[in-house]
Amino acid sequence: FVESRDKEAHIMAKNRKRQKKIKSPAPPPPPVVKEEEEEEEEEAPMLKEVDDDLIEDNGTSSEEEDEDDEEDDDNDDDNDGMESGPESIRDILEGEEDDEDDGEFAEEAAALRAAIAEGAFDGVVAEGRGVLRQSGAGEDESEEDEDDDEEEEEEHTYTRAAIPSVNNVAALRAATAAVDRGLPWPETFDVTASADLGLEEAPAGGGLAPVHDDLTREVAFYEAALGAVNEARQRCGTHKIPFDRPVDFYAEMVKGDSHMAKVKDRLIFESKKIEAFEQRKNSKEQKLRSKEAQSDRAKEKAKTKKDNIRAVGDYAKDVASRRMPGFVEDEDDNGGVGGGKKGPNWKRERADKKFGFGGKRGKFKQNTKKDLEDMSKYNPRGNFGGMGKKTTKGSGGAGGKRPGK
Amino acid sequence: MGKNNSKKRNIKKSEKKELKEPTVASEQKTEDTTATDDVEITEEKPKQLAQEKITPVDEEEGACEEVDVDNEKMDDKDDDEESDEEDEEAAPAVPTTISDGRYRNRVRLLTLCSRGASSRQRHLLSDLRALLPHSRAEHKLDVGRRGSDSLSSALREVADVRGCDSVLYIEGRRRGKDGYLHLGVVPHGPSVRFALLNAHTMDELRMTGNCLKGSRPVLTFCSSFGGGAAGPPAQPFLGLLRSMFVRAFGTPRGHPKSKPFVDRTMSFSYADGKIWVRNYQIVRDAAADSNSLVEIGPRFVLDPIRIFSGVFAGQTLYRNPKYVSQNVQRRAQQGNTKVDRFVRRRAAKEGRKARMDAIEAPEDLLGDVFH
Repeated sequence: FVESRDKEAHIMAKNRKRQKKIKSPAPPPPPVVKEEEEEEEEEAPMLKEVDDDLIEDNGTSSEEEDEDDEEDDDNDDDNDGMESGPESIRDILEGEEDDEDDGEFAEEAAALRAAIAEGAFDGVVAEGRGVLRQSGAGEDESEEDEDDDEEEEEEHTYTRAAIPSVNNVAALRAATAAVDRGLPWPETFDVTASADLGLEEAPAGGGLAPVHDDLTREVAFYEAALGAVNEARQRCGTHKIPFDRPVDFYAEMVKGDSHMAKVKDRLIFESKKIEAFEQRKNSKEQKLRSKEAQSDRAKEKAKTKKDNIRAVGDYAKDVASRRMPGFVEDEDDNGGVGGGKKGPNWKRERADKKFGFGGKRGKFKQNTKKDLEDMSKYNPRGNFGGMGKKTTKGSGGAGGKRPGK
Repeated sequence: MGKNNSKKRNIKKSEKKELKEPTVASEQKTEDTTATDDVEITEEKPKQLAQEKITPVDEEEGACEEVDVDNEKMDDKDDDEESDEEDEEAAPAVPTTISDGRYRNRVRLLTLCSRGASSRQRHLLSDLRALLPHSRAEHKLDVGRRGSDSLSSALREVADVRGCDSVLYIEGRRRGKDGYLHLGVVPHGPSVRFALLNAHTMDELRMTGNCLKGSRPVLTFCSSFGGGAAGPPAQPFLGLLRSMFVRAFGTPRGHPKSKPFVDRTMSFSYADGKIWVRNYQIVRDAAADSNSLVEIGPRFVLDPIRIFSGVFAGQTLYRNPKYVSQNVQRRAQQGNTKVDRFVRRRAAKEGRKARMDAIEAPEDLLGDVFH
């Protein structure tokens, strides 16, 4: 329903609801068109009914705010702040352009608009953006004379409640002069830094101003203070005020010894934490590296060994060729030098030489003549239960030779 | 007036005790002030600071920046400046104060907190008391709900009783959630109300510095505050704040509880519309011949709310337009203000409309049956 109502009517209805000081409701427009008049009158009560449900109070009055807050009735600072409502509401209301198509109330809306244009509702100036300030409610400083914001209340005009800013420059300067005692520098020890802090401007590329970055901000404060301290030191020198504390000057300190011990413990703890972290990191890295290093070393070792052996062989060849020209050395014969570990199959060959073919092991599986003629295991029935190995040669005839072979 | 005078006399006696305590730096003999006391009380002239000839030392110092020729402004401040006139002579035309190490600049800062202050706020106050030897501690102030009027008069009364000329009052509201710091010059002077934010006490182990208890700090201001070589303040209220900070946080020279060497600096910086207060220890590196700073002490942020011409009452001289009360901020953060609810409702309505429009109902074949 609200969408179909006219914007101004909407606002006016809110104003009507809030404003109890208005002497009389807006007089109906001159009866140029009777139908419109009736419609308006009908509309007014309807609006009022609908008010409570749908039409929101955009304004915040101090009483209503404090209903939420049960702890303290004190309003003195509630009015100091402003809620950022009005602009958003206004924007939303102004963005509401799609109401005109609704045929039902379009005529009414048009009639109302005409009436307003003629000035029927001049008693109520609907500039209100919905933020209202009650006069004097909750203002703590009752003696305050300067209420810049409330001067228009009596005229029943609702202007946007701007945040009042009081800046009585002359009085401030007078007050400053009153507070100043005209003391020489050694009495006050106040120094002002000459350079700007440089925290307010946001960087050109975007992002927050440096004020909001803790580290940058604290560093700026530190630097400013340090500069000022250096200046103070110089000035103390000229005034002959002792600045540095001698090492043997013992006096009560602001923080007691027990507290400083705790501080020290914490510092040690933090440094140890960092150390442990570093160590863990390093050992991890080391582990990775050590494996690589090991394999590299092994490779190196093997390589050098190889080279050595080859060098020896080359030398031997060399020597031999010098000794007996034309004598061709067999490569496999290592010239009587060394134990003869050479060749891909050197183990096999050595065993063959020692034990004959097949070596020690071979003997176990060799058939002898006796075994070939042995018929003790021959079973004429041919039950092959528990067949032995296929290689038993006793199953055939004499000689055990397979047919065809 | 008689009663007032007697109070002052009592205070003066305690002062005398302080004077007679041996101080490390100053080698002055304790002087007998009894004789001059009586003289002082009977006089009802507006009191003035020590009127001494400008000695050669003073001229060498290049004169103080803050010396003003104006006579009148001396009148208001001197409720306490009774008995430092050991060497008082006839009043000269230009009232100046020389600084020779004696305790001349009488400042007493009344420090107290309100009844609803949180423990953090109370600890902050006790830290400040430890750092400021010229402070006088008072019990909690319970003002009640009568409004600013009674606060103002209560503070003035307490300050009068204790003989203080400035007040540092920490107020906690909403059961300690919101903290306010009030700083004011007592009898008629201007006063400021700040919102106290981000208070960290000296207890925190990250603050590793330490300093002599009662050593005089170097008060450091950023360039926005003006003064001296930096020129006028960026805004006039900053100039007033600077003077008030100097008055409240500057330990007077020669104060009996003060220590001779300089190893602390209190820095005030104006950024983001707020005043950031830090305390540093000055560490000397003899080998490198340089100073470095280590953070000691409480750190807090002050958001100026208002400056009053009287003691937390009277005309508003300055009101900060950017200040948003902490309660309002909290509510805005919750996201359930009337504005938020309206916006949500609005969006829901629009969504519903869009959905309803998107519905294409099939043609009702029996729709014509009943016209």
